[in-house]
Amino acid sequence: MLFLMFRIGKDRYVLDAAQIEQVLPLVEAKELPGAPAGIVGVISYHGEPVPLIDLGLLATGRPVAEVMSSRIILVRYPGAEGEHRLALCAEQVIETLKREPGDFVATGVEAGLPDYLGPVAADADGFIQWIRAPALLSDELRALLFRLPGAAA
Amino acid sequence: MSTPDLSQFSMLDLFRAELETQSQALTGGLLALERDPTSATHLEAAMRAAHSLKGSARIIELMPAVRVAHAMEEILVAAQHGTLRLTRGHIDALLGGVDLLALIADPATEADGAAVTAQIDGFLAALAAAEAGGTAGETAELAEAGAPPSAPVSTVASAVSASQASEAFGRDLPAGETGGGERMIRITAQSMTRLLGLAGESLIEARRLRPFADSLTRLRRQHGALAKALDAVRASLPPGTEDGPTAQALALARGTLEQGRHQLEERLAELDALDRRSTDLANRLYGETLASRMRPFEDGVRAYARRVRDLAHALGKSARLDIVGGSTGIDRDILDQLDAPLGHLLRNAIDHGLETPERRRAAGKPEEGVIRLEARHHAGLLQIIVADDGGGIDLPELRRAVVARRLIDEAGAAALSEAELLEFLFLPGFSMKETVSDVSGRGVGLDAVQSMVRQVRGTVRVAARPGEGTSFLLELPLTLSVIRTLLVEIGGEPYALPLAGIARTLKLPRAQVETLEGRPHVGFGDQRLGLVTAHELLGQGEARAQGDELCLVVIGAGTGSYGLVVDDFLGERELVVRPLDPRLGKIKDISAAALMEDGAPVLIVDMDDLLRSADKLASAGALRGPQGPRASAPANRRKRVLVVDDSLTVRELERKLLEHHGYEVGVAVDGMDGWNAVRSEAYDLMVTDVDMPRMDGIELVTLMRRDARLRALPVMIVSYKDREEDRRRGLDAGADYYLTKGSFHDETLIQAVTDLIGPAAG
Amino acid sequence: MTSRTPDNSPESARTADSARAGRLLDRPLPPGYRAEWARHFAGARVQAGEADAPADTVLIFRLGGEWLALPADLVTEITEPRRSHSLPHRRDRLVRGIVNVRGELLVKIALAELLGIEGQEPAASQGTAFARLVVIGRADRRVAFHADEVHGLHRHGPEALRALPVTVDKNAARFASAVLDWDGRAVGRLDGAGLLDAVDRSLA
Repeated sequence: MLFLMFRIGKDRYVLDAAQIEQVLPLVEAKELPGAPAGIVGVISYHGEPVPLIDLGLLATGRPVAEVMSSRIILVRYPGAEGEHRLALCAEQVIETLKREPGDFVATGVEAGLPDYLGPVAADADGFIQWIRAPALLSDELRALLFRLPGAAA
Repeated sequence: MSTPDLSQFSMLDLFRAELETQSQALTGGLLALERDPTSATHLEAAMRAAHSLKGSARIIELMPAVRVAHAMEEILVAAQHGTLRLTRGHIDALLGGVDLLALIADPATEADGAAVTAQIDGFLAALAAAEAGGTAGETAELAEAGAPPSAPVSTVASAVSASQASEAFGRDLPAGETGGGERMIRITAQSMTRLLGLAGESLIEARRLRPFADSLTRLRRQHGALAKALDAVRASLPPGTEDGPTAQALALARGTLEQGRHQLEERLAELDALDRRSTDLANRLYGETLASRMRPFEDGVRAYARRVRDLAHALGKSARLDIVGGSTGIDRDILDQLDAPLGHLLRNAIDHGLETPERRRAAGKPEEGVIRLEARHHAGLLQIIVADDGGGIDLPELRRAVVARRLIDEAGAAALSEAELLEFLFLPGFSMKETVSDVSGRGVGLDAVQSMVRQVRGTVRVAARPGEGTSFLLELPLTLSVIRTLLVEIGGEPYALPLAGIARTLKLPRAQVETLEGRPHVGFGDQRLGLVTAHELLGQGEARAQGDELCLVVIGAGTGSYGLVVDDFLGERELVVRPLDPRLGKIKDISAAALMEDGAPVLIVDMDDLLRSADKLASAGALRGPQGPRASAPANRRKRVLVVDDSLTVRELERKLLEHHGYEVGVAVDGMDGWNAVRSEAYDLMVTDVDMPRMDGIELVTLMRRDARLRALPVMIVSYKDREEDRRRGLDAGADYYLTKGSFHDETLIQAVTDLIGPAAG
Repeated sequence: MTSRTPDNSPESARTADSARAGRLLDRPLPPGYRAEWARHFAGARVQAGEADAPADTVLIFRLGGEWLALPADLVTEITEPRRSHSLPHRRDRLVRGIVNVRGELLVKIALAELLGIEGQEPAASQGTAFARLVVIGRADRRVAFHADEVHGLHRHGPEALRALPVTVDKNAARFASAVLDWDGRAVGRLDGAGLLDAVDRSLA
């Protein structure tokens, strides 16, 4: 299975490539003051507003570094009324990875951790954690986001 | 065996491929065995072929083919063991078996199993009959691919098989000519032409290296001059400074220059080697590509041996074909186009040339007639001879036939030489036989042969010795692709004149040109040579007036020669002939095009056309020669009539008649010429014959009626043919009037012309 | 503030190349980078698939004073002008002669004649540096013509095409199907197939 790898802080994470529509450079986003934590704004994707989540901010409280290797991952998102798009920015979005799903094992500490953190796989450099994109937004956040004015239904 | 249809199909393809190879071996062997039934080599070869076919048929489980091949093998094995002696009946049946195998292997036949089985049964019966000493006359069904399934199993009327066998002559050669040692492949003609073109181009490119290398040599000389200059400076240094800074700087410069020269030397040497290698390579590529256009003569005519035998049998005669010079190389284009004319000639030889076995015996000749088909290179040409040892041509009979057809009167016929008389054989529809046999004499005769041969730039002649035989000699260029030419400049552009059409070239002082009746002439040996400028003929601008020497090319022969004035001679070249875009049609005076060494296009002149154009200009009195424009057309224009006829006499008669009545007349010598003329100049009326070479009158009229511009031009046909159906044909094609040549002498012609277009002026 | 990957990180386990590449990408964003890309991605999507009207590629060239466009898939070659050889006995001015292109002899026509355009610079002068010999057509039906100037290939969407003005010359109208807006000019967009057919007919 093909994964896209990126970093938040010093840890490595992967997303299922099949869920990814496109990887964009760090485009400028329109800020949404007062939005819930992690949601830093909306980007315009061919005229369509897509909410942007700063994964760095969400996971570690520190925003993603503004360097060339930080990029925006456009994720497709099955929702109640069809597919949604979600933009995630992360660091070191420059590698892909091929691993079997079976390589990933549960961390054993799921209970206390956010939903979006999935099982981990190991390699010579340490652990790689599988991010479950749909779980990135809590239900109320999701409801909130996709009722934003102008948001794609 | 439940293999899917698809794989079965491709297996059949493989079998068919093998069948072709083995058929050739089988047929060749059987024909040889007919003459020498106990020859061990041929028996072995034929048996092997049959055996191999049986095996292949069994592998693909084509049971009908297995049956047939097995039966053939049995007979051949028995003959090898001496328990059976091959008779003609056997050979006939076995040859039929070969055909039958082809029929079985044809995917189109698979559908009709019942008919095939019937044929196989017939075949086996014929074999059995032969074994039991069946009569020589009974032939097995000449099963032809595509014959309707309801055809009778064994032939009854020889006439039927005669026409079938005769049609076999017209069939295409077997596809994918295999056998004969090397593996053959197919390639489209267009691919071949492109290959040749690219090979030619690469030769041109390779040759560009030489001038480049030369230009670098100049550089080397400059270096030398620089070295000398530096030395001079060194030498002119004031004494005492030889070791000073200036001298040192100079020494440095000198040293650097030396390095540079050394480098250049090395590079030049490399370039030389590169030039040699690439030119050599390009030459070899070009030569190889050109050579691959050649095929051995045998390839194209191998299949005729069998057909000659079959047709002879069908007509109750006995004949064999001897192929001489089978390995002679022939341009594949020419070989392809020879199939039809050679087929005609062979058919004729058997039907008309060879006598019946009884008459041959009575004349002391062997019963079996021999037809010799020979190919050889001679004097830079390809010669093909079709000769039979039959009865020759009955000249008195021919004379009578010519008069009977009112082609010439008795007195004229008596005055004709043998060669002239024989020329009549090439007239369309000419046949000496009163009854049209099924095989030949359908009017598709020697005129077709002549026009086909002309299309490959060849000629055909006939010679006959009464009682001894007839022979046809075809002379063709070695290859249509390469032609030796003289390059000349006309109107600032290069043109190529085929050497074959040039008598010689001259450079003469202008002062030697004399005028006779307003036409320029020049003394040439003991002749007067009429001059005509290439510009006039091609309609290309004005002659170059400078220089006091004229460049002349003598074209034509004897009294029909002309001195063609061109701007300059550019040298002899061997050119690769390239066809022009077919959408342009046939351009008058031009046959094809080619590329020169520098890639510039050049047009190859059609010498026949050019001579005709010169003739026309001369006879119309419009030769302007190297100076002088024509007087402008009078305001009250005279009506112009185009006379198209291949007979000089008729043309002149008609012309004088028309001119006498005030019309302006143009002439054309055949249909094609007339078509060109009527398109390039304005006429008010066309008077044309019907029977003409290259394009007859009917075709000419039809073409005109299809052309938007010429549709309305009145056309009058004047012909010897006076039957109602000829008249119908002419009028149906679109002629406005049909006149027979008999009604010449009175005013009928002029009356008809006036009826159609009114009087000459006004 | 840049964030650099620590040196004792697993980076050392990567190959030297990818390490170098990674470091290359760690440089800070140039000024205006984010804004420019935002503009780019905010713009209308030009990918095929979601686009409802296919884009079209044409060759834009000039004959005399007129700019014209031909479908690019009809153009087989664009090359430097070269000498042609005239053909005798032609009564028309359309066929200029034959010319050698890659070892093949092609008919050279004056396209301006067919379209009724005047004022084409004579090929011999080869005035501008942009004059070219253009070969159009397919397989056996190719022709070459001299263009006074060739701009090149241009891709446009259907919105760039406008209808032909009613005042356009009848002759040109036979072959022009629309007018293309390009670089502030009105370029006559020619109907390739119709043109080639007309050429076929006129060659004989």
